[in-house]
Amino acid sequence: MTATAPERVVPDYDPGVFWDEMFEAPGVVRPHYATLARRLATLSSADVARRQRAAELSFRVRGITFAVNQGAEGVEKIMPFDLIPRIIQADEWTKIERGLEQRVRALNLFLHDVYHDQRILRSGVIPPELVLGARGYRREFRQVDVPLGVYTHIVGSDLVRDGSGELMVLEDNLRTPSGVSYVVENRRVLKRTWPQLFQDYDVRPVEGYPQDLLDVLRAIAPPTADDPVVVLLTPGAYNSAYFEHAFLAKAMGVELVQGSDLFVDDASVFMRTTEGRKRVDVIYRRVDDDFLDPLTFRRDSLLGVPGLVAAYRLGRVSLANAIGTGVADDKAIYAYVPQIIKYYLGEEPIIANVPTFLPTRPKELDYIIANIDKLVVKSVNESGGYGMLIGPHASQADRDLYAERVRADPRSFVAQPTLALSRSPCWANDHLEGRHIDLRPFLLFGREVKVQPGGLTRVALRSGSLVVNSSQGGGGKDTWVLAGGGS
Amino acid sequence: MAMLCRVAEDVFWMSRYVERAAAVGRLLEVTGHLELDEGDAFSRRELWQRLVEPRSGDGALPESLTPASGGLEPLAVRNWVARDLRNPRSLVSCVQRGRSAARRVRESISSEMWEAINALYLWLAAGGADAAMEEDSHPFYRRVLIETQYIQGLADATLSHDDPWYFTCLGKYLERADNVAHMITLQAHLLHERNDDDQVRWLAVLRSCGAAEAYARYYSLRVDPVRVVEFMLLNSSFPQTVRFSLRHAWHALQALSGSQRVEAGREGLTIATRSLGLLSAQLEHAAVDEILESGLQSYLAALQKNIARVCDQVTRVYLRDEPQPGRVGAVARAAMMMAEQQQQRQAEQQ
Repeated sequence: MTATAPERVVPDYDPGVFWDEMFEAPGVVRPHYATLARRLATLSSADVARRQRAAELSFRVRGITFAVNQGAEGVEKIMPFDLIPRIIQADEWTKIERGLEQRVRALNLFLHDVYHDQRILRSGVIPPELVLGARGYRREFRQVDVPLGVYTHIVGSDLVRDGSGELMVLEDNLRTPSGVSYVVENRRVLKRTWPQLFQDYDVRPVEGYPQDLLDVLRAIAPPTADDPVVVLLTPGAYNSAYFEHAFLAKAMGVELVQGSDLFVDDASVFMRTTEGRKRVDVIYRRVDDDFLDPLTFRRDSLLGVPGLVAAYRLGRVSLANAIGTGVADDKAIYAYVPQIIKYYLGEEPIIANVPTFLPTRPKELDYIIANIDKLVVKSVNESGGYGMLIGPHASQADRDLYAERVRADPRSFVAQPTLALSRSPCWANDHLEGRHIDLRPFLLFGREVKVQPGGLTRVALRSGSLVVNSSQGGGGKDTWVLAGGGS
Repeated sequence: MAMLCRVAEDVFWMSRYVERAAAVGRLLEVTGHLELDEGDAFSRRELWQRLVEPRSGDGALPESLTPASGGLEPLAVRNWVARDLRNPRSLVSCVQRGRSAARRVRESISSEMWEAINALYLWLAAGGADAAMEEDSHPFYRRVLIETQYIQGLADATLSHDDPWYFTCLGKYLERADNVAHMITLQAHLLHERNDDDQVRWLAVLRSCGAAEAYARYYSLRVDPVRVVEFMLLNSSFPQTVRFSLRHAWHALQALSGSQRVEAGREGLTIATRSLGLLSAQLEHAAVDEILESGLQSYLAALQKNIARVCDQVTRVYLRDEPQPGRVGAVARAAMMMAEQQQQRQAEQQ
């Protein structure tokens, strides 16, 4: 067909010095990518470019957009989408599933403990001041029981592969992780624009997520609710993840509400409908703790519902995720997760942590200051790729600034070695080029743990960049988890 | 099926804006055609000037469009009505506002509807509206009409015919009744002048309501001003007339209130249904002679005022159902205090 095409897509690909998801060595394709590589070899660059444009148009017309943090209306961007799928073999996926389940179970036991008996703090495994002084710790929620004993119903942990190819957890997102709608939409768009790719692979479907999420939300309803009414609470149409909120609400068939649609009466939550008030039993809230209830947290919050926290505490309404989970994905407490797993489960972590240095430990502070040009320094209180120094890429002035900030406020920072994140071939400049990637799988925890077979592969689209966040110019890829025995 | 009040409001307005965009599109195209029939520059200007006569609720015209600035350039008016975003009633404004409302309720309407209105918006925002200014703008208006009617068709075909759909009907028909009244108002002065060339103007009224063919089929007569007024106001079976629109708006409102488990303090509901019912009944039993006798312009003004009042009443009843906030706050605070005391006791016990 296109055997005479002037420009071939694959042959000149350079995997570089990094661990490449597709290539073992220049010209040597990993077995599970072989079929894909053969198909790519038959394509012309014009063909790929045409499909790329079709995919972008599809995202735009369907309004799969995010608003960048500028507050102004009209700044809707599509998340750049790379057509070349990332493929994960069945056995590696099994390990990821088991590792994430282990981690999330341990973290939920940890959350229950720190909000009840605090055994782990007395045992000396983790310094009490680190936990009790964490910004995400909500002392108001001591001794409050949550349905099923589960705090984090929706989790999106970030995994990365280092230079040796080993997968590690880079951070846990236990509050309101976003991105799962892109997992489903990326798949849908790739199927539309490039159906042939799927012919030779047995790819596990990702579309079941909203139904699984609904099951979890119904499972945590107050026992008094026979047929629980579930809603999704969004900060509104200008939130960067608004598309996802609408997507999930629609797929689950639940109301997408804003704070002003809800009110509390007699310690129960109601929504304002055209037929009068309607009781609400479960709220999947995509609003941070601080903004949930102006009576309890930030008084200036317009996003929240006055009285919601009281209703929650009395068990009249359930929240997913629970309030106060931020203490468990604090970047400093992250360093203790291997010990937390050992303490509660008596097991070794299945997926490793990235080595993490805490400035609160004097020796490690010295090490951080001396090696700041080799390290990544992160603020524990920020996410989305903000408040971060990548030592090797930073100017000396920025390094000095961060060294100063770390010394002044050691509890607010952590440092990690700069990882040589694995790369994956991406379509750029009319051919394939290696770009650094990570993986955010999504996990649901209700009566049991379920990991969506897929996840969001985020791509640092700028050549050489290590920052994959969509707010910082990152894009996405479809992520294929192969069914057992597939190749 | 109950729906959120906020969603109901946005669905209602989305539907109004789509209907309004179609009406503005027709009016612009028809006026462009009429202009070609006018011999002198004065008549052309007069023709376009009517399009910027203020309607209630609109902001002031920009400096360049006030008659004081020495007569209106047809091109400037066309730009104002077609694509100036400062004009809340411009075609592009309507589509933008309709799309914003649709985006806020995209989970409550069908994906097909959302994608259709989004595609229309993206096309206009990407410079599609520039074609409105070209001499040969027919393909542009044709596309606007097809796409707006497509969106309305999707509402009928892809939404369950329960509350959200009834709100689209209510919005569409109230808006349409108002627009038709406005289109007739634009030429009502001609009734007193009676001039041979007026036939073209009255034909234009029919066209700007998309009713020329239906009129011809119904009367099979030459275009006569009184018959045109009669047809556009009082025809019972053609969907672009005031009578038809009000009847269907009333049906939608009845369906909405029928599904209502009426709570105490919602007497407003009865008021809205009654006003719309009365208005609709008036049209059902009116005769054109009596309308003309009483004065067409004043009749149309009263009609538009009544439609606006119904819109207000609907908005008040369905879309702004406030619970008693003082009590809510007090109860919530009491619960908080109770919970805090409990917690303190637990802490003391440890």
